Amino acid sequence: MTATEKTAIPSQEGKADDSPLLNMFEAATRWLEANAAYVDSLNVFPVPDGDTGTNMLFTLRAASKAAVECPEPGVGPQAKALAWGALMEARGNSGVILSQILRGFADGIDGAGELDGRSLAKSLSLATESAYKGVESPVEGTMLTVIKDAARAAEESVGANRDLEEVLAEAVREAEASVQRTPELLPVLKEAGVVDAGGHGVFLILEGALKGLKKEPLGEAPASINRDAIARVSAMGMGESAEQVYGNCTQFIIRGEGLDSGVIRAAVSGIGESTVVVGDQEVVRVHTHSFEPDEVVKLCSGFGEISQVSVQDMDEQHGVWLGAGYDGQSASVGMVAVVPGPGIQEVFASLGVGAFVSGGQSMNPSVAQIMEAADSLAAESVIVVPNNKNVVLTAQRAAEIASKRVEVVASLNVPQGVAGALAFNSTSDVEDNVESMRAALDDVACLEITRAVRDTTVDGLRVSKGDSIGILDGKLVAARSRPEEVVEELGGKLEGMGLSLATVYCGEGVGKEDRTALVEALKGAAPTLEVEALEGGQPHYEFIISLE
Amino acid sequence: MGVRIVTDSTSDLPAEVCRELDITVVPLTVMFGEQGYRDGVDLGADEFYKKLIESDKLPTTSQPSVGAFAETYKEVAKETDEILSIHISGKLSQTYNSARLAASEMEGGCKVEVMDSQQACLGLGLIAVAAARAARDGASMEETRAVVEKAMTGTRTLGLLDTLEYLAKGGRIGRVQAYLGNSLRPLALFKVIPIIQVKDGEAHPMERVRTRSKGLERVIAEASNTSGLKMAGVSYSTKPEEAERVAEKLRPLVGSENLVMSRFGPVLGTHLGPGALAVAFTAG
Repeated sequence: MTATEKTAIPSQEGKADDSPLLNMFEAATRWLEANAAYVDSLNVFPVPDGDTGTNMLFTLRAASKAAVECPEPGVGPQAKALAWGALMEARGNSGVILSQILRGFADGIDGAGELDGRSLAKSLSLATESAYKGVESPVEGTMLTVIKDAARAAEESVGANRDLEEVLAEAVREAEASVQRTPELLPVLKEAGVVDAGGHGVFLILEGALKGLKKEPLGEAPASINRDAIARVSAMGMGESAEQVYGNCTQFIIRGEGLDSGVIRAAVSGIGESTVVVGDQEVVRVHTHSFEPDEVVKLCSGFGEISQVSVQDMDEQHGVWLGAGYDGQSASVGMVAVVPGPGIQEVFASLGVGAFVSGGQSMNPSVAQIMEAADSLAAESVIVVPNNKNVVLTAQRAAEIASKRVEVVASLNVPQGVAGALAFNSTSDVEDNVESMRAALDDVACLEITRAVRDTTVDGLRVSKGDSIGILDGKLVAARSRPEEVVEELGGKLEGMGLSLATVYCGEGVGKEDRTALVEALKGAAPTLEVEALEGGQPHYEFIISLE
Repeated sequence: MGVRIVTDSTSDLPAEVCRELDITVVPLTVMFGEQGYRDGVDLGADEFYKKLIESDKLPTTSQPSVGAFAETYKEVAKETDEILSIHISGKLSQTYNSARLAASEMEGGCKVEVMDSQQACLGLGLIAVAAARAARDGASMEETRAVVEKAMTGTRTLGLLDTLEYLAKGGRIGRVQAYLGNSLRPLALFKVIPIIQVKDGEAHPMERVRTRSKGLERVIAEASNTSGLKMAGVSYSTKPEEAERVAEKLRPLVGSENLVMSRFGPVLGTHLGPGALAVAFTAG
């Protein structure tokens, strides 16, 4: 035991049972664990699954574990071990800042050599200092603010000569209030209707520590998960704003001798944004956002040995998150479809078609309508699927005079258009897409069933007005009184086509019984056929059937 | 003492293949709530898929700790002084980082080199097999690394998923997001099956088909149309008969000694879900 021990709680043998420091951290970890999912739900950027709580938990867990396993007795060595554990396992911005907080805190405890109200307050102040130093441009309304407010409250209460428990209780009270104030300081939080995730995490850690110190049961995690909260920009003290350029999230560790975090931070800040550099003279962790991650790593290799390099594309993550197309490429090619009904439009929309023109048989759209639809898309190039033989030329004309690049994949009917759109891949360029979409047109056959509007004879086939007639790939093949009879008549032909899937788009006003009868007829015609039927909503054609 | 190969459990290699080629597998961890299981060690595939389908909470996964790698390296170092540790793409998992850190902290005479395969599933497995075969035949570290690099350029992994839900929830959806992006939403009555591939270390969309049989046909065609096919692998989560049918088509192309069949373990199962099938193949 050291000579610096005074009246305060003496340093212990490293057992959680009798060490307040270990009790505090062990309880803080378990409390954060219980609430991590909630903290995650507060912060949903930059990945769809928020990870602030998880990142902080991993960092704290490692810190706590290192302290418990510290072979040397006494709060000083335990605190050092704590800081080391946090540094080694820190993940994400929030984890890195937490590790910085723990480092400052540990320095305070180590310096004092004991844990009491005064040294706690001092350590929280040092933690705050260390946290602010760790980030390049500190932002208020984040975990930085919460630890700062907690530290201030602790310092003030020491003036009233309180003991460890009372000082910590003050810090917890103020941290909670501070978390509630974060939306006032950071507009993005207010907009999203959330408090800052990292700040809430800091509060939970302090609250858990207090519970551990008092040896009271942790209880149930009170908060429900805030699944609806969507913060577009994370608020982790990183100076990120809505206009920020993201680049690559680059992280690594430098090992060396006499490392100076300040010098490294200054160097990295030249080519990276939101730079966090934390550590000691032997090991530092760098976390920055840069368009030149290789340069950052190269630059830092001058300071020492680099390890644990991780580079993530923030632009991609950002793009996904905003839902504005996956990245620049996906926005570069768009699709326009000419659709005869609302149900068919929905199918095309589910396949990535961004703009629609109503039209089809006997309702052909204009060149201007197709051009307008193409122009309405942000994409640089647009592929049009006309879905009707009478619309193909119109689409081609629109393509010729459009102000942007417009290509026509000449689908002659809806099934061909759907097959084409299915082959669309928004990560490919326009040439590749046109090629694969054109190739896909022949993958399907189209059977249209409509009513004859007059008596006639076509290719020797007698048709009476009102007959249900079947048109297979543009050729009149059957005329019967009911749609299902048309299918039955075509039975042998369908079976010979080696089909595996039929998709039936039911026309406007087609009743359930008619639909069921047709589906049954298809299944009867080809027993191995899988049949899907949905509302197409098209006029004139009772059924448009895609056969593949 | 030759080069020894270490990989991780996302390689999907069957135990007998690893035993035969002296490949050491470090397990990742799958978590159901607070309960952690070592991939393929504490939790087997059958029990896992049962849990996956029954559990209302989806599992999560995490990379092996630095310590787990350090221990493995120390253990293997008793028998060799050169270890080549080959892992799942760093874009899909932090496993590679853990391995690197453990390697950088190795003390003593054993050299450990760590490579990012840019692959996953049996794609990684086939690369590890290629490396282990070279090492068994006496290749040096440098030669083995060259074998790995060559295998990496010639290896593809294609997958058919029943749903993209698991890939999305686990944050591994990558560029496959393009199939869901914008305002796109899947329609219940209009089924679309995406074929995905591992490319540049992450999941990419390859194409979409309307039926499973068409998807299988496409995946088999991609493998069959590849010239210089050397090895192939089929892994599945819940449909062994289907996997066997695919394997039957590939077996004549590579020979049965070069065809690996396996089942996705819990970690891959977490990200791919039930009904997944992957085909990996190496050419060159």
